[in-house]
Amino acid sequence: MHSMILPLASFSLPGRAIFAAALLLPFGLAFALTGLYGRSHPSSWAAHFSRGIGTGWWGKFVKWRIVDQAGPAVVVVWQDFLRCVTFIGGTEYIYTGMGMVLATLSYLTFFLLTGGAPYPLQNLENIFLWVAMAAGLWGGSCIGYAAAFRQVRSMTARLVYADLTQRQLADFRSPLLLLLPGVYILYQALVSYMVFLTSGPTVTSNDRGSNTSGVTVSVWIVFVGPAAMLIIVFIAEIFAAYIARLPRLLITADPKIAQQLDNIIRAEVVGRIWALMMLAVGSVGFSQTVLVEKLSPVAFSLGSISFFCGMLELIVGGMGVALAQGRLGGRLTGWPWRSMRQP
Amino acid sequence: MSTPLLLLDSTSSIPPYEQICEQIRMQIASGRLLAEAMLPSVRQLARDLGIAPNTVVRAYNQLEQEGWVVTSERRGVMVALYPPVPTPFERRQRLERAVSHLLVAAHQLGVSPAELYAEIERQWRQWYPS
Repeated sequence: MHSMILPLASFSLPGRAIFAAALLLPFGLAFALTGLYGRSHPSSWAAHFSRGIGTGWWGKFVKWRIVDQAGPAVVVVWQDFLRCVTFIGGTEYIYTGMGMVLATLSYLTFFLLTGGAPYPLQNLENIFLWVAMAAGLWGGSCIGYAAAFRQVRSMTARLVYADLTQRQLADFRSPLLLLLPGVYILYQALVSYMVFLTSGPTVTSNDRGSNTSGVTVSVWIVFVGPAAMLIIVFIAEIFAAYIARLPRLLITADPKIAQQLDNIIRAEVVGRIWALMMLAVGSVGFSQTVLVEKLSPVAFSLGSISFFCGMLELIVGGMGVALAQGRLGGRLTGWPWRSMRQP
Repeated sequence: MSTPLLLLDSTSSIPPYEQICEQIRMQIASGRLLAEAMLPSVRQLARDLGIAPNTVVRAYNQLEQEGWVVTSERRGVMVALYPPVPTPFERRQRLERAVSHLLVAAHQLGVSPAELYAEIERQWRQWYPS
């Protein structure tokens, strides 16, 4: 069995680590620079990018009945809204970029310490990369939003407003949605448990045709994937709840409309956090499926079902949540197939 | 859909805690805040309004003393099941205070009596549509 920890001196970076660093580090830096430029140049391409391409803000304006409420002042409200979204989006990009850079660095550190551990441990690296990336992106997003909220508030007028109800995550996302990742994680945990029950204290990789066939690892390794998925859901919940509770923004002069605009932005951010979470859980799930398939005949026989569940998680969960555009069944947002209630 | 709002005017001569009390009383009296509805936490309200938490605590304490809200350690602050019925003296005193605040504001803004009556009527219809 190969050792997990190799001395750094005897280390040589494999191609995939260089590829990850070459792709992700410039990507993170580009994000940060785009946000920085977009914030200071509100009519530039960077500002347009920072606001989120394909987000369809005007469509949301209509759906959330802002156009009806604002009446003739809608042009001014729209300008105020764009200014605010550009500022928030730009700040989010700066911190998201920094989060990506930090996540990539932590991944490389992990890689250096494990010395490019042999298959099937490569799947563990994928799992680690997803957890680090998701945490980095969410952390960056949240810090960015908190910073932006603070700065936008400092620019506000003399009149401030507050909700007279306790704001909760359930206002922007139905708790029922937790069933989607919950059932998938439960399935993966059950498969892992079956592998655990039918194996001895160690399992051996049966990756035919590969030079890593025959690698033996502790059976506990099969629980890393489900645990990582649970951690991802937990982090997403914390960040989404944090976004829901951030102070209200005074985006435009009319507090009632400002409250609605704030709801649109908040719902969008919670939706993005959730879409990324589903994507991360689905991707870790695939890595987990490939990992356990090579370790146990039981998991191998369940491979098709596992693959189907993973696809379902990614398509119904990840894509569905992304297409819902922030309307995840919350008390304020409702579901995308229903029209918005009159304010 | 929007949730009930509380507005705070930093240029007003009325202290923030009184503005909070007055608006919560109005929201309860007009039926916008229903019995047993949960009010925001001290922290959320203070952060939304950008004021010290002690100001919110003071407002909630006053509302609790007057019987508008009840506080429980586990659930937080919620609207009382039955709003308080003031004595005729209290009622008179509160009305006088509210009207005097209104007159001071109208005087500062140079609002004529006709404008003032029209605004009262407009808002009355808005608060009590029926």
